[in-house]
Amino acid sequence: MSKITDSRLLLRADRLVKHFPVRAGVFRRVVAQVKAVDDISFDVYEKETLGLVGESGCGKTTAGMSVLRLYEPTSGRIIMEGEDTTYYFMPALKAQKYIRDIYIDRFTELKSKGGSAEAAIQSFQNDFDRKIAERYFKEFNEDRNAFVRSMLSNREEKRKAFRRNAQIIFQDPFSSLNPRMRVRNIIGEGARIHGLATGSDVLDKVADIMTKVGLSKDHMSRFPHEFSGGQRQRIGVARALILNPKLIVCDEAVSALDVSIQAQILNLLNDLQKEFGLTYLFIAHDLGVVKHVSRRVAVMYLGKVAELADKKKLFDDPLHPYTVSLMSAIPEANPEKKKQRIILQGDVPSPINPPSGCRFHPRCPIAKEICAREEPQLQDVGGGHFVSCFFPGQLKR
Amino acid sequence: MAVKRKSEFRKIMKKYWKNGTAVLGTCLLVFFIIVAVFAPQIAGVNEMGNNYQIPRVSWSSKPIAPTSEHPFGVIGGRDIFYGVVWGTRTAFRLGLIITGFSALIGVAIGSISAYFGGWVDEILMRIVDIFLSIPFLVAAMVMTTILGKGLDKVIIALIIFGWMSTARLIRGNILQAREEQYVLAAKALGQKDWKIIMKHILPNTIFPVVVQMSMRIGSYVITAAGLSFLGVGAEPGYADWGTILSYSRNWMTMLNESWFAIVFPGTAMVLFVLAWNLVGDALRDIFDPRMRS
Repeated sequence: MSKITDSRLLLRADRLVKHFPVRAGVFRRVVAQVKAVDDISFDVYEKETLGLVGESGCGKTTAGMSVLRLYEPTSGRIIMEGEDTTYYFMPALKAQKYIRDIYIDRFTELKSKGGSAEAAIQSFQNDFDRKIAERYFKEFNEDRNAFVRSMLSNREEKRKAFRRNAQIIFQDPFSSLNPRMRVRNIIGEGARIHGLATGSDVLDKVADIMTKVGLSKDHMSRFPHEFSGGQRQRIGVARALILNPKLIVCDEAVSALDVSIQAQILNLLNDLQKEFGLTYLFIAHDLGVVKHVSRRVAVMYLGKVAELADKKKLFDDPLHPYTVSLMSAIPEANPEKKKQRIILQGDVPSPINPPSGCRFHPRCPIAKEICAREEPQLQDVGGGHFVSCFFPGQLKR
Repeated sequence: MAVKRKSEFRKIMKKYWKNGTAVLGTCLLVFFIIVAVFAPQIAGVNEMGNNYQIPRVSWSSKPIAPTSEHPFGVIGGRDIFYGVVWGTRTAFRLGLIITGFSALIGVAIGSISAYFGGWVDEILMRIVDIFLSIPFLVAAMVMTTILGKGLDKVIIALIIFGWMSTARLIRGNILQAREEQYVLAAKALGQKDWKIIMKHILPNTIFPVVVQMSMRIGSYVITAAGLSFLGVGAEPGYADWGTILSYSRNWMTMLNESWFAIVFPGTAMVLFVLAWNLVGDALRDIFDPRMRS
């Protein structure tokens, strides 16, 4: 990502794939795969908000859950703060296989192709892989077992550190809080797990966080059902915040609230971002909300990223035909202004059996023959504006 | 912290005592417990041997209406008062043992099924289906016929055919709770799996089972009485409400002469079931924080 690298990279999802098997029959055989997330890549920089938009079922929530390993990704890498975290949550044998497949085998192949270890190291475009290759060839002298062992060491601590750094706020403020726990225990649970406080200090910490998210600390002995939807969402924010995380995945965090409460929560998230230097991966289907909070926005369609750009660029000058039609559908509070709306034909195809080539081609007004044949790659068309389309910008409003 | 918890318990109890039906249920239950504990003092003991055998007071099978000596009357030569009082012990034994063991089996099978999923789940649930496909009373009758007469055989039969609903209940609850967002949230916080089960899944799944158990204690007593009435339950003369009822079977057409053989054990049974149902309702309210305020 060329231009916007003024701040540090926090999270990189690299060719992330999540398929859900569909089982049927007496023997529960896998008959199909729901390709919820199918090879997406995106970067999130420190202290920014990356919006992830798309219609229902396009895989945006699955992407967020896979990043946090609440769903185990089918393949792909999740790199956080320059560390590959993908294998942290795998069973030990699978993790070993992953390290062998992704690193050792690839390095060995590159070495035999390039002739020397140095050539193999230099053949990597990105810093991250080059650093690991350097470690493998220089520090471990190609000792496979030692390399695997060092990668797999301290997995428990690594897992804990990851959990501390990456948190989530859920969509539904009613099912995201355990109805049988008091608010002080819901919010304090994370602090106890990670040993951030002990005994009665936990309660002080809870009180502190509750004030910060705009709740009265006198209410900490209440149960979740005694709060309104907006207050419950604040409890959810507090639960994530008590760990002092770096990244918070906001999974449709305001979609279930009514508009005035939405604004309150969005402003709260904004204030907290400034105060604690948080980074948000903001998943939403409401373009207005995303426009309000994000610095950059990724648009997803049927398990793929269609377009990823700065907010301003994406909203003013969308290049992917899907994004263009989405933008034309944003209602405007001006009855005089007549807008030309692009209405897409048909429905979103099933992610079990997605269309060939470009996923969007059956509904695309400007689809050509190549679109059904080949799959467009997500490419930078300049200034960090990524589009996966063979004819970017050709559909005009 | 301890002080706080105690005061909270007190608050719940205060609420509990304000609820009329809960108080009624508890009083009835306490009454039955007292009767069961003090049965020898209330109705005396059988000098001929086994206390659970109702002593014969007459060799005629004709019912004798209540007198001061036999306050509930006599049927089949047996003193009904003795049978009803000592039958309270039998009722508790039946209800508690059957419910306890069938719940234990049910919870074990249901949670194994939900936890492992896949093949294990499939096989266990098909076994549940097989057991459920046989009508409960018929199955219990066949079982007692095979095992032979006696109260212990009734208990075994009812346990064998009584665990399925608990298994299904707990399996469904766990499957549902597992998908709840608060479980995902706990996972995201880095909580250990067993702690997620103990703190998040079990509290939201086990209480419905406890409530269901308390309500089933009463209904098993009725089922056991039904089996005794049909003649496949406890042996004749056993201090059991159903056994007394079975004596009245031959006098059904002459209710004016034998009403007491139905009314007294029948009332005991109805009140026993009512007590457990009311207590079950009250337990549900106590366990669910949403019901408290």
